[in-house]
Amino acid sequence: MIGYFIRKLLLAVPLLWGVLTLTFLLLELAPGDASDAFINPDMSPDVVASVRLKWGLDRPAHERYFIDLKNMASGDFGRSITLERPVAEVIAETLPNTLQLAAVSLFVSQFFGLCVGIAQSIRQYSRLDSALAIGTLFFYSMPAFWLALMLQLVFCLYWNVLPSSGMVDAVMYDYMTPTQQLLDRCKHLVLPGVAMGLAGAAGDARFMRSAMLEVIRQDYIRTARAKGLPEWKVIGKHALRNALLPAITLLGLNLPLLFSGSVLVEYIFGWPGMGRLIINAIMTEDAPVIMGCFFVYTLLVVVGNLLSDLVYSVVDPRIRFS
Amino acid sequence: MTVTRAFVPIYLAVVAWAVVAGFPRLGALLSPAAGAPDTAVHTVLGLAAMLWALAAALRTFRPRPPTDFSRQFAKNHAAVIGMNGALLLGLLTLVTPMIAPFDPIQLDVGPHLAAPSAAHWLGTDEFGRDCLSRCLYGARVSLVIGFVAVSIAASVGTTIGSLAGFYGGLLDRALMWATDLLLSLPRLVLVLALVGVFRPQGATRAFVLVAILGATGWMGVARMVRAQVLSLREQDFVAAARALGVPTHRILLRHLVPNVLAPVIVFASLAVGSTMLAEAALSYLGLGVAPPTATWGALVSEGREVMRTAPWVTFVPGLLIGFAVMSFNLIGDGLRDALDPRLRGRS
Repeated sequence: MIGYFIRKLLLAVPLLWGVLTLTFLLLELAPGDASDAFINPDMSPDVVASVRLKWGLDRPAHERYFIDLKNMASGDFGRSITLERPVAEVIAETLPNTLQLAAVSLFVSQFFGLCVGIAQSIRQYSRLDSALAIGTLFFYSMPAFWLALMLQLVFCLYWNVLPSSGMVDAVMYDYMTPTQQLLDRCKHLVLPGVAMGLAGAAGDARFMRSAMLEVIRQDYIRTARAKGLPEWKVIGKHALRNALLPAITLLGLNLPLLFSGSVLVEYIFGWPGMGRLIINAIMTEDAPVIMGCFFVYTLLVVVGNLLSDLVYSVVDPRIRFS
Repeated sequence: MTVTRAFVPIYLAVVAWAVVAGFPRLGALLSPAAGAPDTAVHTVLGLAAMLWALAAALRTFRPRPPTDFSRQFAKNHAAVIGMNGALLLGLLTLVTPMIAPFDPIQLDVGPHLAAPSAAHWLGTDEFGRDCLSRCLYGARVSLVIGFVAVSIAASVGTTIGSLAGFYGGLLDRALMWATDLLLSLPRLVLVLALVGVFRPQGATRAFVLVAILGATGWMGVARMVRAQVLSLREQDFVAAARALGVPTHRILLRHLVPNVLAPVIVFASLAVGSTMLAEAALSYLGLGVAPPTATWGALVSEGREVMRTAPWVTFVPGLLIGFAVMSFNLIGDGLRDALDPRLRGRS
């Protein structure tokens, strides 16, 4: 078991190397580099050369590639060119925010997805089932950024009950009591969390419905009913636990999707997370930040998949990894 | 074998659809006001090719009797609704130059930010452009990009997946490593990086966009096809073909690939939706097709600033994206259920 996880982690090494190489190639192929932002046509060649020297851009590509690899391997992500700060510091600042948002949206999507999926499956072909099916399909197909804008329109512009951007109140936060601060943070989480979670919830509901339907027809469910268990126990204990298994695998596989969604939602809600960081880095061709972000994304996906494997083995004792 | 016959027309048709309707039109789409007649011809040809492909699929991908594929599909109300929605959209893009009331990029055809009225059914935007016309023209770009990108992704994925599954060994490892690599990055981030870093300008932008969306969407197909080929290549009919001295490439093309096409088609119809969403997201971030060309995502983005006073500018294009994506999802679900009951419910 432990050996399995160690092997899986070791497999991540070539993957990370591949991602770094890919990113490096991409940035090399692109016209221009990050030093362009500091260079203007009026500068003398000496100044241009010194700018390029400062960022190490004067070396040939293959040298820089190995230097980058070595630095990344030793945990040094380099310095952001536009922010003029260490990349590790910037990522350490933004990553928790993204994870926080991702956790909330994951909760939203799992909670609503489970509830809707179960409700649909125990009343299959009823009006409720079709109504929920149409609803989930709607949210599944809608672009997340559009949903986010509509939420902003309704809850910020028309009703003004929830803040439209940022993580905390820009002005008042420092003057609040700790309880108020917590409340303020929660309020700021609601809209981005829901905007990001809704599409996921719809997907989860569709998945849960079919997973539950598959389980509900099994013999052991009939047995459970026959021995006189109350219906909630049959559904909650016997059916749900088995139907959850594929959902857990899906959870691991959907992680990249979650981060894809967070990019846009963070952009719309002004959330200071990795999504916004990487959009800005891409726009300014800030190579070290792009590399660092890609590295962290890959790491997160690998770790997430491992975690879902781990949860899987806890929930289902039949599974033994070897 | 009916399945073998299907292989030829479908691929030909997809390629024809992509080449005839997609690529020349992408260029023409950048100046939507000009070149309307020949765009219409391309669209007719392209749609005919698509319908042919669809008809061929319906006719040949019939599972073993007595289950009749088309009857199965027709019984599925949701799938039929989705098919009608998609056909309606296709038809709309076909007749857009004829039915659009105004030029989509002409400024000041009406008052600025006017609410929907009899003259401007969906209102006007901040430059006095007609929202209905912009939405109609936007449909063409969004749909064409979605279709062409998915045909590229499905072809690349099928090729890579079947090669990896069939030959195994080092090739398999290398290809699957590349697949995992691309799968471990969020697709939107990858696409953003590619578009943002290469910054294609002007008319080439639409082509590059399609290529990038295609190049980042094949991994799912590749994995699925590989898994199928892995089990298929051990079956008796492959051994029989080998014993008869059929060359390897022929086994691959004629005996294995046709057998995995059914799930590929299901995947493709579902992927059209997600690709359109990705394109919309890119346009929303200002990295899509160059303005002032209207695409649905760009339309949503344009309305963002004036959302409070003129919500209709944002509301309708987003709804249209959802409607199109929903249609393709319904078709995909229906195809999946009708083609292979074992796949039912997987997402």
